[in-house]
Amino acid sequence: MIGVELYRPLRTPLHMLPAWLKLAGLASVALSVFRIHDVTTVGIMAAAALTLFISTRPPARLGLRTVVLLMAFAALGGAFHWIFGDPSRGTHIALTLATVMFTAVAVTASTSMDAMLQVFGLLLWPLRRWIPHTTLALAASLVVRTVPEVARILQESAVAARARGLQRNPRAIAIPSGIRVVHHALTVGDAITARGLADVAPPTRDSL
Amino acid sequence: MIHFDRAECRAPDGTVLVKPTTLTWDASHVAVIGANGSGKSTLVRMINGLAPLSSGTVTVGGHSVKTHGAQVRSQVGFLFTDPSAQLIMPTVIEDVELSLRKLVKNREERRERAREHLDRFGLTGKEDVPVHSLSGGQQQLLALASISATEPSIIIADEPTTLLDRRWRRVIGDMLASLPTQLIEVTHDLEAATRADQCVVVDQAEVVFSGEPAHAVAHYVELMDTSAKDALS
Ligand SMILES: Nc1ncnc2c1ncn2[C@@H]1O[C@H](COP(=O)(O)OP(=O)(O)OP(=O)(O)O)[C@@H](O)[C@H]1O
Ligand SMILES: [Mg+2]
Repeated sequence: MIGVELYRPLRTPLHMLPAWLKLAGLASVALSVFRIHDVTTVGIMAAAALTLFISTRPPARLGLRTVVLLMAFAALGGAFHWIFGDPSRGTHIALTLATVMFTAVAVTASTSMDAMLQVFGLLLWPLRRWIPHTTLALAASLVVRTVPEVARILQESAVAARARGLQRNPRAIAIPSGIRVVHHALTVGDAITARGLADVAPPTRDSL
Repeated sequence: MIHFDRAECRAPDGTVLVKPTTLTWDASHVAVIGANGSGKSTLVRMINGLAPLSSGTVTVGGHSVKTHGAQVRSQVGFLFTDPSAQLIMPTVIEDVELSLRKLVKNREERRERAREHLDRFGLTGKEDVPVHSLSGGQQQLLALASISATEPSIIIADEPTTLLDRRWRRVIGDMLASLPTQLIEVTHDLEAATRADQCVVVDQAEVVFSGEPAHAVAHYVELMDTSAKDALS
C-alpha cells in the first residue's frame, strides 16, 4: 500500500510549500507530461520527479520499496510495446507513468492529510449550499481511513482462504470480505452516531 | 446517573431483544455480564440511542434519549470492541481533534489541546502516525482518548479488551478505572466484574440480577453451568 503512511512531518523545501500549490503542481505535471513526445525530455522529467521524492527524505526502507514498486508498475505499463510493438514507445509510456507516480508520492510524502483535506474542502466550497463543509471533510477523511482497512480485510480473507486450501476460489475471498466490509461500515456508522458527529449542535436555551 | 423505565427494545421484525426493564445505575462502576447473545450490547446501546427503544424510556442525567438524543450522546462516551472501526480520522491527532471540534473552535488551540490529551494517554510522539499502523492496543487507547476528550460524564465500554493481549487489557482496564466518569462495562471477564461496584446479569433478553458483584457472578456461573448441563444431556 502506498498512501498516507509515507507522510513524515519534516521541514524539507517541499514540506514547506503550501498544499494547494503542490496539488496544483501535481495536476499540471500529470496533464502536461502526456503531451510531451520527446523521450529524452520525459526521461529528464522522470529523473527530476524521483529527485523530488528523495528530497522529501522518506525513511530508507519504505522509500526504496515505494520506488521499486512504482518502477515495476511503470515497466508493466511499457511492457506491451516492448514485447509486441515499438520499444521506444514502451520506454516513453514507462517514463511518463514514472513521472506522474514519483511526483504523486513526493506530494503525498510531504503533505499532511489534514492539509490536503483542507484543499479538497476549499475546492468543494461551491457545493457548500447543498452539503455542509464539515460533512464533506468528514466524508473525505472516511475514504482515506477506510482504504487501508479494506486492504487489511482482503488480505486476512485471502490468508483464511489459503488456510482452507481455497486460494483458487475467488468466492472464498470475495464473500467473507464483503460481509466483513459491510460489518465494518455498520460499526463505523455506529461510532459516528455514538460520538455525536451525526447530531446537529445541541439546542441552546435561546434557540428553543 | 442512568435510569431505565420499562424500557424495551425489539428488532425490526418484532423479536424482543431486551424485555421491558426498570432499573437505576448510579454506582460509579457498573459491570454487565451474561451469555453470548443474551442482550448485553443491546441493553447498553439503548442508553445512547444506538438501539432504539420500542417502548418505555431511558434517561441520562434527567435527559430522555428519545427526545434529547444529542444531549445524551454529548454526555455519554461509547467504547466499542473493535478498535479500528471506531477511529474515523486518518491520523492520530486528527481523531482527537475531531472530538474537540464542538468544544474548541480555534484550530491552533484545538491542536494544542489534542496534543496535551494524547500526552495524558501515553500517546506522545504518535500525533502524525496513521491510525492503521498502530497496534490494536494502541488503537483502543486512542479510541478511549478520543471519546474522553469531550469530557463525558459516563463511559460505556462494550467488551473493550476482548480483542487485546494481556498487557493491553491491563493498560486499557487501568486507564478506564482511572477516569473520573461513571463507567458501564460489558465484560466476559468475571474477575473484572467483581471489581465493579454494581453488577448486572443479563439472560435471554432480561436483566435477571442486579446488585453486589460477588453475588451477581455466582448467580451467572450457576446459570451457565445449568444451561451447559442441559445442552449436553
Ligand atoms: N438488529 C437486530 N436485529 C435482529 N436481531 C438482533 C439485532 N441486534 C441483535 N440481535 C440479536 O439479539 C440478541 C442479543 O444480541 P446482543 O448483541 O445484545 O448480545 P450480547 O449479549 O451483547 O452478546 P455477545 O456476548 O455475543 O456480544 C442476539 O441473539 C442477536 O443476534
Ligand atoms: Mg455484545
